[in-house]
Amino acid sequence: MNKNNQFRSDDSGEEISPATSGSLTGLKIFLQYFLRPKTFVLFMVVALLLPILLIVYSIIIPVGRYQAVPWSGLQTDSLQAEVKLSREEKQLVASFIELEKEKIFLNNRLQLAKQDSIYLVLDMKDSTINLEIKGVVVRKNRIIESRMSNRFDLIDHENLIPWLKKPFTLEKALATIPKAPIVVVQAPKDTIEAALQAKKPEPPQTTAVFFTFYFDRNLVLEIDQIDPPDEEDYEQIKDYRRQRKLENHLTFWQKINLVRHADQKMKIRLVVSEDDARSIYRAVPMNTHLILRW
Amino acid sequence: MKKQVNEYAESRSDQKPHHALRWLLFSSMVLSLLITWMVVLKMENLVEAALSLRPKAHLNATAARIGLDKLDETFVNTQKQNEEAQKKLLAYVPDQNYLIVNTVGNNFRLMNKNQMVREGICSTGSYTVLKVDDKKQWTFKTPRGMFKVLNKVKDPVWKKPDWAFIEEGLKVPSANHPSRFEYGSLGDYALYLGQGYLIHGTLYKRYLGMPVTHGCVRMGDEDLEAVFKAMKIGSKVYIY
Repeated sequence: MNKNNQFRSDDSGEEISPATSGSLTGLKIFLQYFLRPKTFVLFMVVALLLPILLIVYSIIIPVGRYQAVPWSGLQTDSLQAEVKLSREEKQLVASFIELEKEKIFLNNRLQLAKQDSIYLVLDMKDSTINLEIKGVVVRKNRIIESRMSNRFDLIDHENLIPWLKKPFTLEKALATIPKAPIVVVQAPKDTIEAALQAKKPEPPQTTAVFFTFYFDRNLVLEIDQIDPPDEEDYEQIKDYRRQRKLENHLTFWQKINLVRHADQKMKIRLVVSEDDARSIYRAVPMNTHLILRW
Repeated sequence: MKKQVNEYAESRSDQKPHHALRWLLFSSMVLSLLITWMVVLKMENLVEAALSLRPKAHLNATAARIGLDKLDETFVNTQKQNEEAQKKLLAYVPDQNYLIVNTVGNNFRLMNKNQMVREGICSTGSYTVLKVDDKKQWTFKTPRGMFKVLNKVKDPVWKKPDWAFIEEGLKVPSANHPSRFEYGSLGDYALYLGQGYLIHGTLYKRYLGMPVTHGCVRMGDEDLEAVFKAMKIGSKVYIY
């Protein structure tokens, strides 16, 4: 054994090289140095300075100054109204606002009842998302879980009126299932080929249903089924989530200026049963309308 | 031996201020960038959380628009307008029986006002596209929307369209050729919805509840009889 290169530690009796011994000692020295109050403060300041600056610049300041407007295309008047309200007056104004929202909701339903198309009525108060045709509820779907963006609570009623005044129109949809389960069959040339083509009809599909509807005026509706998906559907769901991520992709600058950006998504996420989710997605046309109340 | 280790350690500690400070700054910067990246990644959630801390929307602008002195009057007027709108909406619900057909779940509900009278399974369009060539094809789907019963027929006779022959690999006969007329295959009753679409019975009862038809709505015998009796000419059928 070469005594110059090999050492034996007193505690463990394990053989260690000078290099290992050196780095352990170095680490020990570094830790001793690091745990000194001044050094630790320096470490924390350097480590947290950039994230804190980012949080202040991107979140605290813009959120503090945030004037909630759901869509940049709205014609909004200045809301600098100097009115002092007593508690009773506040209550009265609040109930009037509810009444006015109800009025908009009913007028939108009346407007769509005149059309022939199938449309959606999302009532967060009742926890339902219904399918209607010509003013008749053809399917009531119960919402099991829901989450609305906090922006909804911050929008002033005066800015909300023009946003809600007409029904929303569907612009784009992403889903784990096709809109229509189309099967293309080539016409048989003779009766023998027809007999060979004849097949037993398949029972209705039970694949997982997750979809996102992108409406005009920044409204986004995400619907997930409550039932846990089968393992064979995982790939489909993964693909759907990837597409949704691409759709919602923001660059670094867009992210750090998120609150300052005029058009921000007004997201609503709903959880319904698989059957309801499938019915909603398949039943509505690609340019369907939605009426919202909350 | 122990002495040698100590000597080595001492030699390392001579370099302490430079090495340790360099390492400290490097590790803190790496940590800083990691935290910043996490903040950027979770920016939307952090913004949502921050927004939840903001006070809710003010009422002042609405109060200023209406005018506090007119608030009571406006309140009553809006209430009246809502009641009228509600009445108008209710008028859209048919007075007589109506049928709701679900093409996704292949079931139906027979309704009276907002009460369900009967429900059951049915069969609707299969979404099969029968392709002859690039120009000629049929899509077997049940149309959606509101329809009216245009005619009611007992013991209907099916006049087979062209696709019924093409699908079976047969030659298409002339318009009124006897082979076009099939008796009994539509069941005991048929309700005509227009554009060739019917609500009728079926010989293939085991397929009820499945999407197998060429666009018509097929029902079981008892359900069909109940629907036939309950629905009048002009009654509304809602298909979604």
